[in-house]
Amino acid sequence: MSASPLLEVRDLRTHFFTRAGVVKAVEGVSFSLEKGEILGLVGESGSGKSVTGFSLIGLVDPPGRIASGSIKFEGRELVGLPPAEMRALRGKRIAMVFQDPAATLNPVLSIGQQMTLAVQAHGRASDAAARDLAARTLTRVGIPDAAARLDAYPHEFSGGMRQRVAIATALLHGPDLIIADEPTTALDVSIQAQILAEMKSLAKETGTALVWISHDLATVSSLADRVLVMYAGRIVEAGAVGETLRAPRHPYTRGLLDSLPAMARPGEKLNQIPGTTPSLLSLPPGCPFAPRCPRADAVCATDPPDVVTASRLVRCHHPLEAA
Amino acid sequence: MRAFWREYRENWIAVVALAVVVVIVLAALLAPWITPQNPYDLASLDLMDARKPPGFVGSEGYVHWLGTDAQGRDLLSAIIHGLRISLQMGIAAGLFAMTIGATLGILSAHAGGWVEAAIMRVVDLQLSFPAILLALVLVAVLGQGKSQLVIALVAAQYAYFARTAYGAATAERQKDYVEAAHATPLPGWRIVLRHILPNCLPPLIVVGTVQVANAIALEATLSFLGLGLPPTEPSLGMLIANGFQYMMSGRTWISVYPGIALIVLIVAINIVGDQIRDQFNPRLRR
Amino acid sequence: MNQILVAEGVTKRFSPSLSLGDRIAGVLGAHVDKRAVHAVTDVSLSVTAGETLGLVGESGCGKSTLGRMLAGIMPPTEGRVLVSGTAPMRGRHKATTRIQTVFQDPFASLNPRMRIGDSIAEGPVTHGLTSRADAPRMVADWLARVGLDPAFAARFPHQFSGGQRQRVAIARALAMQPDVLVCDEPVASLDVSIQAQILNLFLDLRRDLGLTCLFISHDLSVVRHVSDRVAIMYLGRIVEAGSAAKVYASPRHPYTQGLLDSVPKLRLSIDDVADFKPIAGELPSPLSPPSGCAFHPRCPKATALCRAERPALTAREDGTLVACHHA
Repeated sequence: MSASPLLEVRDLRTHFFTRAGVVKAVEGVSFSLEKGEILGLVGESGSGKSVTGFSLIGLVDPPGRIASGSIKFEGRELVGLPPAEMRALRGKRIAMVFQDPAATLNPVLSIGQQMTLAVQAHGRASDAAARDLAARTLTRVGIPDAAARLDAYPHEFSGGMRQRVAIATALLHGPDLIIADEPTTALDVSIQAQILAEMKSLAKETGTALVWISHDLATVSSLADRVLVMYAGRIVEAGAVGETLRAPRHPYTRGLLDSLPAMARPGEKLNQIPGTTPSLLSLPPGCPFAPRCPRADAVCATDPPDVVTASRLVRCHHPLEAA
Repeated sequence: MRAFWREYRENWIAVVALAVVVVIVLAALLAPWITPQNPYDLASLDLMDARKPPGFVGSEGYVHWLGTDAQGRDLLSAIIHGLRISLQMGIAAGLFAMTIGATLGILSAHAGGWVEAAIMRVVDLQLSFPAILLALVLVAVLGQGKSQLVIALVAAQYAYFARTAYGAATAERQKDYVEAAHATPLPGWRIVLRHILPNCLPPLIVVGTVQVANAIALEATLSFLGLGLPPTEPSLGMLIANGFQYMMSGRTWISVYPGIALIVLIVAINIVGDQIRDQFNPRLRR
Repeated sequence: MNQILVAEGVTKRFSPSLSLGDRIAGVLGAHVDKRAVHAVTDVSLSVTAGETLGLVGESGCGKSTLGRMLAGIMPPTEGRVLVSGTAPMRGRHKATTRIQTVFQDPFASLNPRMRIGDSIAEGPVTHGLTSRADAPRMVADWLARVGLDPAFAARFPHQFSGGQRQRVAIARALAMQPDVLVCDEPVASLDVSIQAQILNLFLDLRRDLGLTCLFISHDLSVVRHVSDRVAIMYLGRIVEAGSAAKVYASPRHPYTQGLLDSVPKLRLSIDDVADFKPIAGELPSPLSPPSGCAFHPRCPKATALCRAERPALTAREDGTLVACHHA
């Protein structure tokens, strides 16, 4: 094992400079990821989880940009890397899977053509060799009769199959890191279960590290080793999945869990979080969760909380007791 | 509305264009009071002043800043009055065409079936050949005069509005809020008037501004060909046509200045229309 | 028992509406696909007063189409629907106000150019449930009831968040004083914390108003939470129906079992091994449903009988209805 982790993110800030003001979508996010680890990135819409993912792979569109911070991949700084070098890395060493597979596949090219292009984008390969690699990778993600289906077009595949193709495309070069942004959200539960099972075994087999971005705590809990909970652009809690979700210490994590119908008796009222997620344009000066928090007091309204670290990271003035 | 203006203001070309349109509309509205001469009052014309170059001081004792035409009209006055007529024609034709076209388009989208098929095929047929052709035929049949011209322009242009309204209404019809209105249930006329129509207005307004410009151009073309308004009330097209015969003899101003006025008006309206379209189109939003 | 919402042998087929060009091509001998989509086939169900029936299934199972037929938005091809004893539709148009719908996407279901107060008041005023003069007071009442500031009546939908809009949509439906409320995926597009708020609001209103509901969702845990009874749909038919507690605790149909096993569970300790037992294969095309039991190509228990003969939906000793030869 090398001393430095596969991915090390330090104090990442990604801001969007819009007409209405600066939207601080990601505000001081730090974490690291070891080889082969599965990290779940959880939050609601506007929490900055997707922007964090896009920042890692250098795909933040204007008016957004990484304002400051550092992203080190195998010790190499990615922030400020020339676009050409980022492109060489992207798809080969770091790959991304998006929520909507229909939007990432080109409708006028067959699956085989697209995957062949993806193979040849990073190094020379004959068409036959590229097709062969594509077929083998498709088989690995559970597409039966892959060689024959290479000539099919995206519209001939179901949503689940398209997402498998997208995952296979990400796997082509045996990347060290895959960033998956809500990859199963658009899919039915039975298909989601198939894909989760496959992702889990793939990560085990290949040693690929995975950042799994999702709003779904249950999905993350059944897949990830560690979880980061984000709120208003900040990580509010991070730790090992089982421990963090069994005994969350940040009131927001607790609230998210209590919002799940599965956590309550049927028909009984859910222990809801009041209010709505704040606008990133007008965050309160203190803890961004304070207005919705049952434990908030005067300190929370004025001072941003520091990170409390015991076995895990908690950003709260008044964390819940460790179990 | 305020946000709309704030965004509009960011494109300075569009702001200039809007200012030009406003100035022209104001000048046209106030034409009888701001022009030195009433170009339609044949008694006030003096043939001695005919075809004089810009800056000439005429027999009435004031400066003809843009010169005079073959009848001795002050060109500046004639152009402002011509713009007045052009705008009248354009706006009247645009509004009528929009009303008729939008009604047909939305009705056929709402009714569906053979009503939709019948109306929209006629519209498609008409869109497949040049508007000017139909306008020419109609003017030839109906004869000259303002209302005849407006009828011809409306007949030539309603199809664009019908197509736009139909497209917008078909898109709106499938949205959940229309389904929710059906599921309440609300009467059909109410769904059309209160739900579908207001949501079809943005594209219609955009097409409307551009079609006003097109109607002005079309009217100028017809007048240029001598099929538009009677020569006693020269619109811009007729002024250009009248000056045309003097182009070769060096008296270019008689045609050129009305031509410039026409181009400026049409381009300005189009720029305003484009800006409104861009702002209504969410895909172009940043 | 007072059955407020009844469906008897309801079927919906969507025949492709051929365009003129397609028809000509067909006449000229081109292959034109004229097969009908069997969205819903022979569904019978009833909802008694004060009860919530959950309708569950994956996309394409026909649950939304069934919901729209029951809500009187779409006429069935065969069979009949009764709401409080009368058909909800006359011809192609809805005729009753006794059943109202809350739609999935609160960003699409409110007219963007209408003040929300007008959206809420429009139906009741049109149908004479409220006088025009009383409308503002009625709107204020409903806004307060769904947890919004009554002063919001003059605002437009774009000024609200998704959760607030869904509250408005609920107020709009309930202001019609319906006997039955159809909720079509009402929380599917909302964030987890907002979803919990809307579910709580729904539970409160249901208790206070004694609502009868049809709750359609793909989310098994949401349906479990709000439903008294559930019906599981697969490829246009109900495969299992019964009390929510019984169906979730001991599912009998292999599809229901597979579906429940597919739901990711919250794994709360390291020893709690996450094991997936996904259903194999994919949903067949509703254009050409499999012979016999529609689930047989994916079913671990399938036999020759399943391929040959479609199992009927029959009641078992505990009252649960199951359509399976081997359950």
